[in-house]
Amino acid sequence: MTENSTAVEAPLVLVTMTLAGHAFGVGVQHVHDILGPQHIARVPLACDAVAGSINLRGRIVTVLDLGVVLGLGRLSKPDHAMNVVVADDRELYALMVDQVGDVLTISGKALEPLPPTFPSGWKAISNGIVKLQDHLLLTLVPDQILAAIKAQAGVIA
Amino acid sequence: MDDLMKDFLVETAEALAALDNDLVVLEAVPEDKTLIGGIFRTLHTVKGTSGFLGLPKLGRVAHAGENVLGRLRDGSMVATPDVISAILRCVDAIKHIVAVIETSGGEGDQEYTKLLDDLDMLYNSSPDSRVVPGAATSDPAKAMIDDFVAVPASGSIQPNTATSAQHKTSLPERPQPAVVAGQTIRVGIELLETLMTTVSELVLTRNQLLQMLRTEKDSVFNVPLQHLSLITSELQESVMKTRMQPIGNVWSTLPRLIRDLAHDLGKKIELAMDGAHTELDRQVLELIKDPLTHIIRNAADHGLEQPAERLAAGKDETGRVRLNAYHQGGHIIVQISDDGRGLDVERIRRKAVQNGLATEAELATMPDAQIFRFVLRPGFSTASAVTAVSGRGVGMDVVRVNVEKIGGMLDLESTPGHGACFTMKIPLTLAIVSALIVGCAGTRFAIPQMSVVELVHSSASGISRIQRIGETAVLRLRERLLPLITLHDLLRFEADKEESRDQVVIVIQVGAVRFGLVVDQVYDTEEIVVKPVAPVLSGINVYSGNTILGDGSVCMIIDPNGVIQHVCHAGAEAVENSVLGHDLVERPTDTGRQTLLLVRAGPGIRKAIPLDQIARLEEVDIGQICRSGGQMMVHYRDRLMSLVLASPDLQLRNAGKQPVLVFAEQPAEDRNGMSLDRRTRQIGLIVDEILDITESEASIEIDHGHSESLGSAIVAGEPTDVVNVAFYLRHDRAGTSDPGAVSPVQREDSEWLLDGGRYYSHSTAASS
Repeated sequence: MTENSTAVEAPLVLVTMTLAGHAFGVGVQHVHDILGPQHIARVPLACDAVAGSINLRGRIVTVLDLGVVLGLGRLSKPDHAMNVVVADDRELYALMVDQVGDVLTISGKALEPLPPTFPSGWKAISNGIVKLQDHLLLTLVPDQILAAIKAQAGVIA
Repeated sequence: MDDLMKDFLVETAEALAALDNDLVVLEAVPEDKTLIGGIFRTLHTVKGTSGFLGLPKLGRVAHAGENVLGRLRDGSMVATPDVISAILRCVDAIKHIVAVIETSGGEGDQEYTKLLDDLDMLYNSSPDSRVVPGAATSDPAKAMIDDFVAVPASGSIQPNTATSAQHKTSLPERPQPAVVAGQTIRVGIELLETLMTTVSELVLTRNQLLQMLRTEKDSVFNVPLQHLSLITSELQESVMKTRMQPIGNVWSTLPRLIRDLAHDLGKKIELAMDGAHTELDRQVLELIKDPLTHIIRNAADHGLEQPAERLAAGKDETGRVRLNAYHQGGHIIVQISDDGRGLDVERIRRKAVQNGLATEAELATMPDAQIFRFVLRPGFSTASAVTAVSGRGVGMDVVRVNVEKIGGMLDLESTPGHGACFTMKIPLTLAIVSALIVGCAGTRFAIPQMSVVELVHSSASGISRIQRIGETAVLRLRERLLPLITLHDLLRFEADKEESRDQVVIVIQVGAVRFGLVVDQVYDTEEIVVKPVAPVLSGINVYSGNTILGDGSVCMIIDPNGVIQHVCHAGAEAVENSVLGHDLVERPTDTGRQTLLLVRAGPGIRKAIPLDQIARLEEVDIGQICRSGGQMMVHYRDRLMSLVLASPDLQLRNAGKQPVLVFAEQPAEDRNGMSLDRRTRQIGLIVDEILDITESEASIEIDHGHSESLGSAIVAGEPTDVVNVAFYLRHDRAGTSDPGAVSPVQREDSEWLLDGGRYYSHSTAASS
């Protein structure tokens, strides 16, 4: 990364993760923690996307099943799921995914907007696609995931 | 707003709060030079700083007040109640300006010319005309500082005001402000909250360590861990203490309140305060402020009699309002008592009958203590005339609700002619509660211990066996029927395979409602730290928060109040659905055995009505039935009840009484009390004759396709029409769109609501 290119476009540092065979990335600045499989306490009556709550060093963190959020169905193996803890402005949320991969640094220019054919739910929570050598990676915006779920929870309540 | 201004506002607000009380005391002891000096200095500081900060209006008001105090200080004027009133008004004006500055940044538009003129007039009055013999004027007010009065002294922070105020008759020693100021610092509440959470985490981590090392007898970590454990406990205790404040902080506004009330009402009132040093959580303190003020206002206004009346009753002319606070168990008890006339049992009795809260017969068997409690019920008011000071009754249930909201309880007792006593039982802190940990479908939940009355173990074979009527489960507990809510169903867990296993019924009391919550297991009681739920979950009213248990796992806290609301809400929906769905054939068949009321209505075969849908059986005098626009109605328990014929060709009798089945459109009076919804309407179904009650597995054999009947069946060996109650309820509801028919009832309701709102806003506005 030359100094010139940073001036033009800041590089993106992404924590990559996989879910149901798809690759996703979340900006490293949003990620608070990465946890292995956790004992998740159920929260009955909560909306579908909420898998339960966990105790993260004395803080109660709501776990969201990213599969449900994206409409890919429930996580196949919740016992082996990884949790990516992201921070809202005040609250912490954990995104439950199949696996967590490497941290990638890519040029901001490599980010392409989502083609209009994607469902609106996906467009709402993603800010672009990165073309990697052998697969595509969708970048997610945690704030908007939460906003989407809150809207959904609001409908139920 | 810059820091300088902020500091000024905070300091001024504090100094002014103390001024009120200083002035009330001064009224009693007009010659107290140190007191006058203190008040003078406070106003002088306000004046000086406002000049420095460029606040001319504030400066003018403070200056005018200072002038008058200057006259008091040099002895050329005596602090008569009139003078004190003027200075109090001046303090109010300063408070108002400060509040305006805080919100808008400017001094506001108000000019205070009248106040300034009055103060200047006092200042310029000749010494002789104002000098009134001190003893004579200060006499009534002297009573204010009798034995127990807590007098927060001076504007500085003084932690032990309350204790020093216990001195008999003499005023407390005024502390040296400099010394006190050096011992306290101002800390942001947010920082304290953070400290609190961090310490809770530390405690949990320590618990985990202890658990790990319990198995290892001779670990090298044992001794240091012991030490760590001790320090952690101490730390936790100290941090908890930082949140505690003496209840006297809330009481400090009361002497002024009582003074003004006495003045307005023309009564002589003495306020006594005991236990002002009793400490409470900051948050709780904030929340009891309004209820407390309301009760005191009530006591002064309605409880205490006029001086003449008191003398006639052989009592001292001066009425006493007494506050007492003390610890009891994990709670703080606050008692507010007066030595006035007490509550009028007869009037409450009458009112209870009038409002349909109880029948004469029920009241006859009730002890007086129980009758007094009707005052705390929603929509109950005994005040024949509502005064400007308080509207008794309507506000009391708001007070009760507010106290119960923080897990407290409100009770009262009264002796006719000797006064009433309100007792508030409030938890020490909201942050930590004692909770019962229960299990349901393998998940643990916490239920606040405060609302748990008892636990009943129920098994399929034992005495306390859960019985089902249709879908509804009930428990016969000491010959009373306890409605049951199954946690399993409530939380929509998947249905269990083994149905008849042992279960525990937790008997819960929320306000006037008592119900049983069925859970699978009861584990333990635990002190839990309540944490608010994440915003994503806050829409679910069944939970009041969540917590981390001793073993580090997360656990939801069940809110009994929310459970009732949730169930009632769901229940209303279910009723709605069945009315809309109007399922003719399947409903009677799948309900199994039903208790049916058999009646005769019109020619044709007899009719059956499921008994559990009927609220009451009544006989209505034919002469009392009136008609409006084709709709029949009758005056029933102070309300209008619309009447419907059970059969179109039924003939009313010419005279005498006609049997009527009463249906409530929304079931249960309890729920009525819960949601303050007074719109329960009653509908009467007129029949010719009530025959019998029978239990039957009625299944519809012929469906006629009429909507008023579900069809015909054989009940107790005879053909019978099964009445579709939902049809009549709906039929009647359609009738209400006719504006003439039911509008009196509705109008009455809306007035109730309006009244409640007005009193409430009045009570809060006046106390803030």
